[in-house]
Amino acid sequence: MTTLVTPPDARRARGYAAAARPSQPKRARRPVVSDRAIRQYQPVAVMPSAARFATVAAVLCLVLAVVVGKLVYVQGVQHDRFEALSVGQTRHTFKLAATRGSILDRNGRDLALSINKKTIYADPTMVEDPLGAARALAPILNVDARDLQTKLTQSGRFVYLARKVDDAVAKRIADLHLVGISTTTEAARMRPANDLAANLIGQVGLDNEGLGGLEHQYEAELKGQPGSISVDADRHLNRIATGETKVQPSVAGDDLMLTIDGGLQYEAERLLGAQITATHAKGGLAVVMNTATGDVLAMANLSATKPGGPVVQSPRNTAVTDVFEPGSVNKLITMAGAIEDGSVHVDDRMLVPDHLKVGNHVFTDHDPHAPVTWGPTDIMRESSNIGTIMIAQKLGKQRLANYLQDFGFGVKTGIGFPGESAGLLRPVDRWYSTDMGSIPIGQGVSVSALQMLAAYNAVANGGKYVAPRLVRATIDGNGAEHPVAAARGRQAVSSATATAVTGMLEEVVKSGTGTLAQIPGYRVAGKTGTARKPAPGGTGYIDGAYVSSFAGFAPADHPQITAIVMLDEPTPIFGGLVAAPVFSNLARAALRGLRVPPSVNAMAVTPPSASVTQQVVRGDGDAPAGASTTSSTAVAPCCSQH
Amino acid sequence: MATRALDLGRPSPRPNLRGGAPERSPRPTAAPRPELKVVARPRVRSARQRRRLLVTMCTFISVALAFGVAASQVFVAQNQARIDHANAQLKTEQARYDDLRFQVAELESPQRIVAEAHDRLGMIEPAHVTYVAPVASNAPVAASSDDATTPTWAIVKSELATK
Repeated sequence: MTTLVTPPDARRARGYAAAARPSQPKRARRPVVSDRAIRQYQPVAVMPSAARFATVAAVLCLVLAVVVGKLVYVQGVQHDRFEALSVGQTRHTFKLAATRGSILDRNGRDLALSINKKTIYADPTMVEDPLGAARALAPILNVDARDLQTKLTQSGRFVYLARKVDDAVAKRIADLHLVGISTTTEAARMRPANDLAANLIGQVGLDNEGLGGLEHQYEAELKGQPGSISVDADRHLNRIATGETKVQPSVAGDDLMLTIDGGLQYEAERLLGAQITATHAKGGLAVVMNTATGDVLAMANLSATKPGGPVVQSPRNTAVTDVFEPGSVNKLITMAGAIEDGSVHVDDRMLVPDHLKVGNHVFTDHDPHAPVTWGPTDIMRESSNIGTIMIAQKLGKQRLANYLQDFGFGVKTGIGFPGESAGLLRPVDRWYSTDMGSIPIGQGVSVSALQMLAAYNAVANGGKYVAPRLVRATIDGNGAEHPVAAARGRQAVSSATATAVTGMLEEVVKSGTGTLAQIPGYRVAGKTGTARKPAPGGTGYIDGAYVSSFAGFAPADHPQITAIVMLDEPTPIFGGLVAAPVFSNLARAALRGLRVPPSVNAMAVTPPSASVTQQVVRGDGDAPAGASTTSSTAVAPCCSQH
Repeated sequence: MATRALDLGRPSPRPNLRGGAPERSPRPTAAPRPELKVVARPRVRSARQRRRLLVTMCTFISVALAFGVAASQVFVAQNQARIDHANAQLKTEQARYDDLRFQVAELESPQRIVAEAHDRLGMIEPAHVTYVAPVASNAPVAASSDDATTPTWAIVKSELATK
């Protein structure tokens, strides 16, 4: 489509646009174009306004299409990629550490808990004057300035300077306003009762992971579930207020309520520590158990830094992890088995010599004596090795082994403590010819203190074996208490047998080798033990090295607590002298704590002193006192060795 | 010289090149006018008016939306700040609770109690303890207390023999 246009001179005067516009007011001034001018010009093809609009619109649409196309490409086709790029630039995710559960005693008192502490760290790239900063920080952190300077000049953007320091230290450092030095918060494991039951509770690492003891055993329950928080922030980590925030909250770990009584644990450690010092022992242990439930009320493991020196916590829970040859305390198993089996009756009498050959070895009693007629109670009271071996021979090798197993020897107690030992009980077919002489009196067999305690507890509990336990319940984040089910007990011996053996053990405390275990007002049953320590390598014994022990329960007429006390290489060596007094005091404290009323018709006697230095020692492996006044170190051991 | 006026603004299919007034067609005979009457002005808006209204509304809505978005952003930011503040306060209180709990546990620990009893209150372990042991008759009997000399095995055994 074409149209006529004005010549150039006319357009020069008016402009093409004005000339072409059919504007009414301008019509009057429209120029008069000459014919010549008209003839000189050819018609020119010009796009009308509608076409131009369409063109511009098309261009705009094209541009818009490009934009939309890019938008679709970015938001649709490559959405994930660009979203990831965007998130990578702005999204910052931080780990939310879970609060580690506390460890409580049976009364709900904290034994171990986590509280927040300040950690000092540095960004070496931001530190302008490493030497100056190191010199300023060193006296506050109590570290060498050169070590700090080394840290402040190393590569990387993060380095710890000090972890979990006190708030006061953190504040002093913050007041320095050092560029590149910052603080953060970390949970620190604290023990408000200091070292109380330390080897039982165990340790945690710098990152709060359980490394030993109950902290390790119950790591899954204690540690909780860490969470995370994702926030949008700029490159300086300034949070974008309108940005997205995603929080995955952390779940706090469960609290662990132990069966341990904090007060009794303290008393056990106090009494045991005093006796270790008094007897110049290398160390010792004491465990108290609730008879009916198997709850361990106290478990003390101490060792001396030097004979007679300061006493500290043992590096491990030796009551569970270490084994020993029990010695005479093992006679309980032999006697209970024989009575349960019917091999021996309480009223039986037998002629007991002072020596007996078993296999190729001659076993002797602790004191030479003419053959004497004793019953089982007399044999227990006098802790006669020969009488016990004779009873074991009536019982027989296989049945003796069976009863040892029934009382929990050779297998773990089920307490689940890390490093628990199952002890050593060889199969019957691998017994030596002398084992029928040694094992009945507690040699040639190894048990942990906890195993032996559980065996005595079975007798105290009417013949029913209950597995000991250390954890009473777990408490979740909502405060709900979840009791830990006690293991099902089993009948090791009958109730009648348990009653009969209890009577024998009571006689031991009344008038035998364990009189120092008496508790005024209460009837006590128990047995002393004095065993030689095996030499390293498994052959022979260490000269002059003994483990002295006492295991028993009270009140004998209605047992509430069972306890064992052991001392490693004490002087004097006899369990009746060194371990029995600790048992007495410890059991008394436990009975008082449990509010157990005194026994009717119990002995109303003065508690023997726990001091061993004034005791007169009889030449008897387990006897507490006697007519002779021989030196304790000169007393011959009661038992033979392989 | 004859000139032609070209009306570019109103192109005519038959331009008048000779000049002069155009011929007019005869005026038709006027028909009788209908009677005029006042009618209500139609409320129908013209297309222009509708466009203007639409543009106005769109503008208003756009501005309102823009302000709404800005206001909501401010609202979100304010609430986020409040949440942050509350979280910080919660952390502070939690830390304070933990510290106090630790202090309570420390104060309840047997070691501290014994140490306080010994050091501050001057308490000591009793050297002698008297126990009252029940007998069959339920009459309380005072047990003997510790003597200055520790009983030997012989003393204990002889005492037991009398029972």
